[in-house]
Amino acid sequence: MRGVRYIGAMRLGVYAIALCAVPALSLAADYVGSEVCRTCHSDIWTPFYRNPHYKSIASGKAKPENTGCEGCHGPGSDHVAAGGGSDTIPVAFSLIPPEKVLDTCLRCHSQTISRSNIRRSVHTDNNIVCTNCHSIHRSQTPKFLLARKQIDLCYGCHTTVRAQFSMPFKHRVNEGVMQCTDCHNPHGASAPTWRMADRPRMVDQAEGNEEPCLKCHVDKRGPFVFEHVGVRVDGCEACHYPHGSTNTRLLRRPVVFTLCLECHNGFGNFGPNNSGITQPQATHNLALPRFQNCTTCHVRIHGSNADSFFFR
Amino acid sequence: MKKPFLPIERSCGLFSALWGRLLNLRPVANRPGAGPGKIFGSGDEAGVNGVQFDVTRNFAEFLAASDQVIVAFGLPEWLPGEPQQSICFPGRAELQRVHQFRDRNAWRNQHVHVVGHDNEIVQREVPQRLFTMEECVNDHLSYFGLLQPHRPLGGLIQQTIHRDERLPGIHLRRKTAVCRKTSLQSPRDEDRLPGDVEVREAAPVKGHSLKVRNGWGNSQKSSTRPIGNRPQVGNLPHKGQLNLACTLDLACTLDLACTLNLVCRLCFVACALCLTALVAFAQPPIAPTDEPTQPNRGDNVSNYNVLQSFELGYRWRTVGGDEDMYRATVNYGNGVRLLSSSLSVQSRDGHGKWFDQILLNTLGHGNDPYQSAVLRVEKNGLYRYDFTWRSNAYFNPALPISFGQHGMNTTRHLQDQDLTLFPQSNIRFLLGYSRNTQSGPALSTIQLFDGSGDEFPLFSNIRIQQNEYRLGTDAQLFGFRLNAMYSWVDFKQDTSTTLIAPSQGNNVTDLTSLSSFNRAEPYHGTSPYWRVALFREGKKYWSMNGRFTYVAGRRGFVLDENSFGTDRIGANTLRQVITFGNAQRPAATGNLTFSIFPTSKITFTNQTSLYNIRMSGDSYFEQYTNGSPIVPIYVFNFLGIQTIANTSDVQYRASRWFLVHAGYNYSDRRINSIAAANLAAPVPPQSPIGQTNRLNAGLLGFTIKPARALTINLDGEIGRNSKPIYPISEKDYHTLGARLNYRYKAFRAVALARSLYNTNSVTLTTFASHTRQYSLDGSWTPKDWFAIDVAWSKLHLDSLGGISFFVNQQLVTGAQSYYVSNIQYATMNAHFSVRKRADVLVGFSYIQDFGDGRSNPLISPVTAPGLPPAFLAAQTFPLRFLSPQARLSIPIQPRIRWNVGYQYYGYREDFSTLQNFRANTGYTSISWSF
Repeated sequence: MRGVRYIGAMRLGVYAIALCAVPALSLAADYVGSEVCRTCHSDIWTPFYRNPHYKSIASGKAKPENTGCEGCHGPGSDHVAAGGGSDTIPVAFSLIPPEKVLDTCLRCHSQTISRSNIRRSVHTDNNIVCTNCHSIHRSQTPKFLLARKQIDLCYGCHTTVRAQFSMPFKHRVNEGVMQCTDCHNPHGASAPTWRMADRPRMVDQAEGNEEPCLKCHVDKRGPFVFEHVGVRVDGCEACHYPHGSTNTRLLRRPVVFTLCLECHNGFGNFGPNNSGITQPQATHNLALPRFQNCTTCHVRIHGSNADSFFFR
Repeated sequence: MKKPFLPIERSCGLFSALWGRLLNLRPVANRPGAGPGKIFGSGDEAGVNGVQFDVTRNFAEFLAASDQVIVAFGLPEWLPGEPQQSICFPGRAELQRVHQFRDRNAWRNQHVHVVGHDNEIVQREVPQRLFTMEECVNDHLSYFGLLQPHRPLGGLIQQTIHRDERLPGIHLRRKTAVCRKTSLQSPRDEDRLPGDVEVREAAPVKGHSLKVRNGWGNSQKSSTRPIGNRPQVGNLPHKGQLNLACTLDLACTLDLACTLNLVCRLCFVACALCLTALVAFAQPPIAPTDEPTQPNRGDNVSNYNVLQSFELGYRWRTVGGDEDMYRATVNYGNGVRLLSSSLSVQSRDGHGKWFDQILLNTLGHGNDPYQSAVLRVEKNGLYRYDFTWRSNAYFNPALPISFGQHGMNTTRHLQDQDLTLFPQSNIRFLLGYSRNTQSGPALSTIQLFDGSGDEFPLFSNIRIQQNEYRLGTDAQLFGFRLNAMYSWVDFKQDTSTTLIAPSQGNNVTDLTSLSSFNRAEPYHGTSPYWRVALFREGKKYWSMNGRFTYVAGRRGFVLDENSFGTDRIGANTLRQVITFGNAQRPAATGNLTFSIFPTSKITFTNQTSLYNIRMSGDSYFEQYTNGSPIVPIYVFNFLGIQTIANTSDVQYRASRWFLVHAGYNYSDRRINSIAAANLAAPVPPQSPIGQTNRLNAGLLGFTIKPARALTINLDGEIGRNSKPIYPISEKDYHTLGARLNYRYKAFRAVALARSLYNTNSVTLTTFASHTRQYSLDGSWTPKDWFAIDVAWSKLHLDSLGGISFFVNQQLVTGAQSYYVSNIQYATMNAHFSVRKRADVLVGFSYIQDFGDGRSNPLISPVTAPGLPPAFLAAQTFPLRFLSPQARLSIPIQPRIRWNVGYQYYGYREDFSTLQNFRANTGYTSISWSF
């Protein structure tokens, strides 16, 4: 039992030292400064110089409420006086509700365009907030303080997407050359500029507010004299699965002509002219294989400058 | 100190002795770094009981540097890129994926324990003779030299602190590196549990609260469990106990036990490995290796800390069947690769002279089809430079399933460079440059010489390039953040197209042929854009942001095409086509978002979006046939889309376990189009044809948290479009979704169900589709040396739409395109570590499209003469794609690993055998960190 008593005395000594250090180190009444925090939390402090949040400490110019441990966790004098305990930390991220986590982080991180829609994002609606994906003290990624590799983060909840990227034809996310954030903004996105501007699904638009597909597939961007209206109005996903598909070129159908004919049936008042989508001509004998791949002739299906039927 | 494994060596004779030498089973006291490092005192010997600093005997000194003791107990200094923390669910519960699980429990198993080893509370216990799988594997692999004796993670961190990397404010007397160990001596080689050897266990201590590190929880998490219940039992010192293990009697016992169980255990291990290999699944490519080399703290050079790691290896592959299909789906080749590398240079005080941080990560260099490099250089307060480079080799064969004749073998290079000046100040300046190139050969087709002509394969040399230059600023003004950016985007495409050899075309029965062909079509333009954004966040009751962008896209083009051949009546035909013109596409977008927080439980957000895009183009088209011009045509086309959308969302947090959110979306989209042509310029103006579609959609969702470990999300949406532009567009749709997240300790499970029904009535002009997705995903990490990750998904799609087409010049109506896809996906990863001597990953991934569940197509009730088979049947195209893999990673030195992996790919279509392939791929590599 001697050891137990010594431990108690030892702790009291620690707290006494910490409290004695408070007046000298604190810059405000309730802020004790990171120097005090590190006496007990040195495991956090020692590698903290690798953390982007260390910049505010290094600068030495930030106010105590905006720098160091207390910049996020709040003033620590009560925590020190109580001798520790997570319940005495003003902002203990493991205890506060998600909306408080969001508010705390947005105190500093709201001033960027990429997070301008975080209040209305699907993640926020479902209580997925910053600390669900970011680990401030034990990040695994060299940038952005992600708790794990990005695809592991995303696949952890979006399990069907994991299946889609395992298809024979897919964007190379599993291979590491692409990431989910190439097309999506997990912090929320503005209304899309395609379809009916509904359900953004966190799709991060290109700089010109176009579909993110055009970030890489720049040759599909146009403008063309003869636009394929379906591409511009309903977006690329009218014909393609963006994640992955069992069909070549990520198409929604394994054969091209069914994909095309489901729109191009000539009936109703569809289409930009309200007269139905153009139907194949009588010369197109769909019984013959050479007519069953429409893009053999209509090669410039994404848009053409020379031909209204996308022949060249 | 006794030789711990002497009995085993004796019992197992020369064989074990030999391997014992190889395994460096020399006495612990002679092994550098094995003994406790010294923090206090001037001597090198440990304190009483092997404790490096005995609190009970040095209390005064302990008080003087009490913090140091806690620090020195050593919580590892985690590095970016190392496995440390898993994903947290809303309830702060964590996900744990299989990747890099090796050290994930390093924190969990560390205990700040200050009970003296000779304390009376330390008792003896005779453990059950129960071998875990880990012990079995380790024991027997040790016999064969694959392993060194186990040194459990718990309570022991043997990496030294670099001498310059000590805790600030604490003066250490010793300049040399110190060993991070707990005050309790950590187990050593002799601590292994050979059968009935007695070990001591700490008895419960009443009221003794310990700091127990949880691997990814709070940094310090108090637990009041008695010591005796902790898994640190094996970490307690073994003063005297191992003398027993050194006795000959015990050696005989061990010999007998080991001998009798050796075969059985090896069989068990082998069966377990095989079984795991059979059922385990994995999805990402086998290389590069996920296993990190030994965590290290890098080297301190001047004022910087430097970390580096490389994985250099060789890939190989063999492909049977359709190699083109392999290249389209996998595409890994043979050769030496720098599979991955990383470099981190960090200023330790944030005041580097030229930079404070350099991060460099690469992937797949050396001719892998997928390569990337990411670089960041930063000087605090002055600049931040980000560079990303990617290369993607894309191969697409002319797949026969789609009757395709278009193929590609191109490489796309993308790079983004961004420089931010004064990143921490109120005024920042942004400069950026992006480049996107695509080049390589391709196959295409052209249809000549008239509407009833023929199609001919062509060769293209694709050359596409886009350069983007960005200039912007970011400033704090009157409490708002203003972001403004201007960008120039230059695009050029100079793809040339030629005919490889004279061709008879796809229809060999007609007379149309092509003897020569060439086409040049330079297509250049710019798309400069403005973006201005305003933000205001952090207010108690409201926040707002707005964004406006304007893009002015312009393109100029020329097409010059010459072709010579015979037309469908066999007459020689020389045709030249010239067309040139311009196209514009200005687009303006605005978003304005208000968020209101009337109470702490309610968030109301409203966003209004405007989008206006006008695509217009005019061109001149001229064609000569056998030298005779056809009257030129002047064309003007216009397509304008205007969309106004307003979305309102409200979130109400009724309690910590219940949240409800609802939303309403209204969109109004108007499309105007003009398609005009004239035989002379200018094209007379025309009135646009317009149409308007209005969407009203509402959504409702709940988040329920009935228990800390369980989170349930439910949501639904229903929408109505007044006039969809296409038959397949959503008209009357609804979605339903449910997600269940459960996590308890090391077990995590996610269940998901989601449906999207576009319930248009099925007529010739409408379309219905049903999408249903189900998924189960779970991972379990019962031990720090074993993790398993299992996932299953079903993706169902059926669609039915009316189609109309011609067969033999007869119009066929009343037919339906019925497409069914039932994709089952299963994957499993099993990842286990044989102590710290080997890491094994076995996995399997399986994708199968069952179509509509029938092996034979369904005969459609719709019949018509000459109807294509695909319309007669349900369009079901069953196929299978599977990929088992296995990887072994062995640390041969603390910072060097040897990795070897194998992955098989099998692709099989049930409706055709043309594209099936089987591929064996593998690699071996060396990972090195320093």
